[in-house]
Amino acid sequence: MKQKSLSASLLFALLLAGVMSALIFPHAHGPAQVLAHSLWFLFLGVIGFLILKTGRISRWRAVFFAVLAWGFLLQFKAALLGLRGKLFFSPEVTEVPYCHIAIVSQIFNYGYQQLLAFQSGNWKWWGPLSLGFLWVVVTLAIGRGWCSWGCFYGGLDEGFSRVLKRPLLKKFQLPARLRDLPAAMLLVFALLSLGTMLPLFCLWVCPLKITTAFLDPNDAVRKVQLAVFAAVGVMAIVLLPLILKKRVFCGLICPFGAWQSFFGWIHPVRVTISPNLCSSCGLCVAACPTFVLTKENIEDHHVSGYCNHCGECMSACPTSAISYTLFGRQAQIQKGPSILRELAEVNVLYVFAGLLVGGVVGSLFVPAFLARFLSLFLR
Amino acid sequence: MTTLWGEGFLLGLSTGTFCLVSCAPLFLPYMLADGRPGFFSNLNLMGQFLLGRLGAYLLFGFGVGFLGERFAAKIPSGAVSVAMILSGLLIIGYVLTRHLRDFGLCRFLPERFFSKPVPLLLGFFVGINLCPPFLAGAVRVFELANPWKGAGYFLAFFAGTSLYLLPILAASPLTRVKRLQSVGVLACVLAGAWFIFQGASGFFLK
Repeated sequence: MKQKSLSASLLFALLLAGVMSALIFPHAHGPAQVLAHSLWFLFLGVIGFLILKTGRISRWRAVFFAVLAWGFLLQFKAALLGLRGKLFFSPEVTEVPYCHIAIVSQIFNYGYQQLLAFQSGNWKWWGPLSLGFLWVVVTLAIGRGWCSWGCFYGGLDEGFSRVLKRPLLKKFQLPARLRDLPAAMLLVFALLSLGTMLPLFCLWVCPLKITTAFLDPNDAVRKVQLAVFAAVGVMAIVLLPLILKKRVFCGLICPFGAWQSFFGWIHPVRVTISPNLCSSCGLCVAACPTFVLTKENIEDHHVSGYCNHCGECMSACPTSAISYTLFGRQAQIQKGPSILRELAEVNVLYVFAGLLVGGVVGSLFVPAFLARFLSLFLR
Repeated sequence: MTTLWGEGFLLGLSTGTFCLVSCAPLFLPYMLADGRPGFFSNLNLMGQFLLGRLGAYLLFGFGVGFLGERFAAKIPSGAVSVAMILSGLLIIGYVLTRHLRDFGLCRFLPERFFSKPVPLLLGFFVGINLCPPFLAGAVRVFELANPWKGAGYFLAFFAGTSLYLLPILAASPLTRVKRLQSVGVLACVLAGAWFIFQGASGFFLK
């Protein structure tokens, strides 16, 4: 993305922080919460400003994304510690966490549950439907970008993938067919979960249980589940992202990523490679953190549907051939004040939508953690 | 006999969703991976799969009808686990020899074996799954103490449950999509690994 002027970047930041405060501030009570929310909006505004002023979308998005994930982790752990005095195990935890990844990996079970809820008329069971509505809103707002702008887990492996400046395994190339692994995970676990009426992906594979409490390892099955969880977590969230500089969990395991890449097409924004500008240097292939871009993609200037719009390829491209577009076309206002022309382009609008969605999601837990911390000093 | 068939058919109709959720995790990825073009070729594939299931059902029905409770006593407790392991090995063997040849493991596997009878054997191994409806049918056949009636009962049970598998054919147009074939191949590996693990856990994680 081209760097924007100081005034355009400032206006963007103010608009973002303003919309966020209009949406979220009414829910903040007490000095600690008000201060925490203000800091969160300020942080978002600064991130928005830096993206526009430097033109480097992914660098500053990654900072925001990592804060989102670590804020989620810390808030849940702090709450667990406060409620139960334990960080990892609790006999009171009898079910796996309830999140977007859990829902899609047992989507048929949720469909069945909704059918039962509909038949019983018990509205208390309509939770997944309201989450489904939120999913529609998010998909209409940022489409496939959820996995790089809104997901409160993605920042974990992204954070580790950015610790080292260069990958330890420089020549590693993923066999192309393995990029379909998340879709296979989604298919298999959705079907298997229906057979057992259990959230099998969460029970057996998902390393993101680290954000909440684990089920007590009181029998052999639970111990094996815990071992698998630990192994997948260490490999896919910490070690492989460190070694490869790639988001291994997001790119190769997460079933929600596959789900969103399937439904994300309803959003009009695409990541597009301009054939006129592309020099086929392949730097974007090396930079893509989720194994989406391949040499074949570059040859036919096509970006696969698995792309989650992180913007890393845009920063890596020396000829600025890659950008956000509307159905593959650049759309920009040609007339009017220069500040308006700078801001009314697809790249800027998409960054705004991404930060807004991520900011709203983050406001559910990041300010809460900050308030918890600040209340220590504001008593 | 007609009443007996009716009973078996109705039991199958009322509990067929068990069969759908037991068979779909293996059969749907297999169908996608095989990538046959068109509804009728996939129908053929499902026909073979159902034939395998029918074989398992008839064997069980005949055995229970012939030996009554003695047959049930002779079924080793690990039979279901072994069947799960075999179905997992079968589908992984199929994928390694037919679709993941670049891994080089197909040299160690009998390629011909994994080309033709896979859906038939898959259906047979999955059919051995002693799920609650299957056991409910077995209890009824114990009382009959007649192998032919037992086989007839399970034939009708098979017909009732098989109706639930037909919706899988709705995915038939998807088998032409290259990307979904690739997804199917990986899903076969995952499902196979899961079945092997589940089968093995029947021995080790009680």
